[in-house]
Amino acid sequence: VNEAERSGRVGPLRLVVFGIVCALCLAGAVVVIVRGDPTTTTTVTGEGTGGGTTVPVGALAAGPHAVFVDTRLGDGYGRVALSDLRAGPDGPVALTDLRCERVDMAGDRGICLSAERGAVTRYHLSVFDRNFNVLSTRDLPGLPSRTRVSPDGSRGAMTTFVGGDSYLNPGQFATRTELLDLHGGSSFGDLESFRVMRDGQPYDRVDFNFWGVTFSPTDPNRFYATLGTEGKQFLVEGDLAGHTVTVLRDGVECPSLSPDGSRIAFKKRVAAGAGRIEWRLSVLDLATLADHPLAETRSVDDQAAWLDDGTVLYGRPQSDSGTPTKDTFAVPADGSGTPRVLRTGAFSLAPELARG
Amino acid sequence: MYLSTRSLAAAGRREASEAETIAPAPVPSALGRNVLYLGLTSMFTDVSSEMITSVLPLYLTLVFGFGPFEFGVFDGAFQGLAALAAIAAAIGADRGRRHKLMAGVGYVISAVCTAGLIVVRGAWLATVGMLYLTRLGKGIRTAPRDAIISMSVGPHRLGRAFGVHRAFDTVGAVAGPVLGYLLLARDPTGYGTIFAVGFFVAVIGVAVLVVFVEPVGRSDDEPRPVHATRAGRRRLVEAVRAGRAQVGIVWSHRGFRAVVLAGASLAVVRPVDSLLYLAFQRDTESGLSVAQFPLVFSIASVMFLVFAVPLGLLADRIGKLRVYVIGELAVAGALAVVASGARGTVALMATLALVGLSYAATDGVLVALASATLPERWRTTGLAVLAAVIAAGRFLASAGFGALWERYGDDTAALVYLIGTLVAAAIGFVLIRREDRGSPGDDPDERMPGPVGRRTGPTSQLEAA
Repeated sequence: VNEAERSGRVGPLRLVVFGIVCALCLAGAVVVIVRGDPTTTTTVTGEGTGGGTTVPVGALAAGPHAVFVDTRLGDGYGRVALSDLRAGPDGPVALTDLRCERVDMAGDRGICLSAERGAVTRYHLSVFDRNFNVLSTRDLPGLPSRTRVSPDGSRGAMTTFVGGDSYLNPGQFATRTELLDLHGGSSFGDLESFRVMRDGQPYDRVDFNFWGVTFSPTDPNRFYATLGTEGKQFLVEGDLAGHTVTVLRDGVECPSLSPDGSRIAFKKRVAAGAGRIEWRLSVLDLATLADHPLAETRSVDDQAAWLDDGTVLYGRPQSDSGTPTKDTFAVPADGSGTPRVLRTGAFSLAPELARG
Repeated sequence: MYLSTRSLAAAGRREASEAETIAPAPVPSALGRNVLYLGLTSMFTDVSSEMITSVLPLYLTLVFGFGPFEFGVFDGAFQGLAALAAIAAAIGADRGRRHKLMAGVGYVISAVCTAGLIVVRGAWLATVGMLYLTRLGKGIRTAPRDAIISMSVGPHRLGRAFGVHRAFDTVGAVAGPVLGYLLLARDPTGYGTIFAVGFFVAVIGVAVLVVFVEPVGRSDDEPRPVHATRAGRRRLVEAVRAGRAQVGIVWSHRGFRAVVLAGASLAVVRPVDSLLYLAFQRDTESGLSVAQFPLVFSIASVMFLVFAVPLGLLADRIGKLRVYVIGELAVAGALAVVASGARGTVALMATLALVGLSYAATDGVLVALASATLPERWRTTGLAVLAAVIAAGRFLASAGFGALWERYGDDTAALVYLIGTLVAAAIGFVLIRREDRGSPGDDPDERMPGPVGRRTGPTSQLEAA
């Protein structure tokens, strides 16, 4: 302790050290804020062109077309796009002005779950019509995860993560799932407000999480969804009018009803060793509740869709290199065959209007 | 936020600083800046710790799936630990040496454990352990920091020094949750970002302490005794033995017992504030969004500040006991809002205003009442007993509230606690009032040292010394 320090003056060396520490801390804070959560790795940046041919929306909207989120790097990234699937996986694409994380469209309505990124990231749900005009928009309580529109366009469902950002670890995420009246504009409420029945008895636990709704093609009041509780993932059948859901069986996540309403495609949780979890696409028969695996052997974390009664669709990353581009694949629903790319760069693909 | 125990700790350190004034004051002109630098250190540290605290309810319930009961147990212990650590450190601190080193160790533990939250992400038990360690760091640093402050200024400026320090503290307590809000709004699941930013901010606080704060007292140049550790152990044993005897002595004061029982009766029906806020966050229709949640803590702090001065003036006019009852009724009011099931913005703001009002009305009053029942030399021990009882009571209240919530819903839990609060208010009123009547001759309000800066308050006592 020298005299200068005794009298309260701080030596130049200490000042320099202090300056360096502060600069490093500020730099560190700025880096983690700009780059996002250091514990996840989902930064999306992309340069380049999407490639392929781009056409006006009107040219495709008249005929059969699939609606999806374009994830090819380039101008179209994140925008809702249309494509005629008969033109092949790299056929012409029409870009709309909607930017969504998730989209679904059926009948005369579509739902877009979007993120407004900025200093403050906000998430929105927009309902749009046949011509992609936004009819209404509301805030979402968390990260967009799943959305579905009933085949007649009258009902909608959305799931958001209000805690955590992945279905990987039970007990480490929380979801909110809400059902909407797309024609009337009102809400049927959060699924957690529905009465739950299991084996004929009322069933209630504090850790209920619902996600992944699919609507019946014939009865607008009937739907299926996943109920996660106590480390299990139940398939539940819901009744909108009765405000109830009934547990059918265990081990079914993100159900998707076939166009004929007889089967459900879903992701089945499998242990992948070393405590890791993966999902395998499977199809179950609603009459027997028995399921069989599909030919896709890689893990799929998506809510499947049906191109027709014999073909299941799902999204997967294009490569394992970490690019944000995803492709939509198709695989036979009976477990035979091999997966093929249905549409490159397409994510959250809605096939309802592609059936022609 | 445990404002009432925060004030207990403040009262404890006022006692400590009165003892410190005996120490030879070093050159004040050179050391006066210590107050400023320690204030900055506290501010940075509080921005960090209050930011983390304001997102904890979300982190634990949404990411780890804590139910209301588990969260109540966690937070009751978390808040209680902070209160107990602060008061224990205030009493048991070695007042003679190495204040800067001890304070630094406390700040570093908190900063490192904040970074540790990122490392142990995903493991709930390790996360809880890290969080408790951050509180332990807070307990370690409080007393030596206050000792440095008190030894850095002349005795006549102590009140102002602690006032300046508390102002810095408050800036941190309001700014921390706002920063949490901004970060959550940017990324509603980015807890890792928040912990990292909290770590960096805390490191700046440590750097200010290390670089700018002058060591004071007889600390480092004095050679350490050879058998320092053994002597230290012997001193500790003696202190524990003496402490037990002291608790017995203060407990034998009838008036003090009455105040402690009054405090306990309210504490056992007062769950941690976070549980009430969670009731708003959990409502899916009109409740708070995830990003907005941390702001609740800032608003509550501001509400407390808004009400503190008017209630202080009111206490001078109608007496502290009546103001204390107003505070208890405010608690009941907040519970009534939660029990009503209303979860809109108006209900939330009403709850926050009532919570702030309740702290402003009860904060310090219980301390003042307890102090008034004890001779000066027993006050620190007495306040420690009071703090321990309140911490234990609120722990039980939080666990019970969470359990009721899980079984019957948050509104029913609030209704049960509302009834309990009204009963507790009546008990407290009777107990304290009987005590006031039991000692006739002087106006009880006049002989009580007030919470902060009033006519009869400790500040003016110190200034007169």
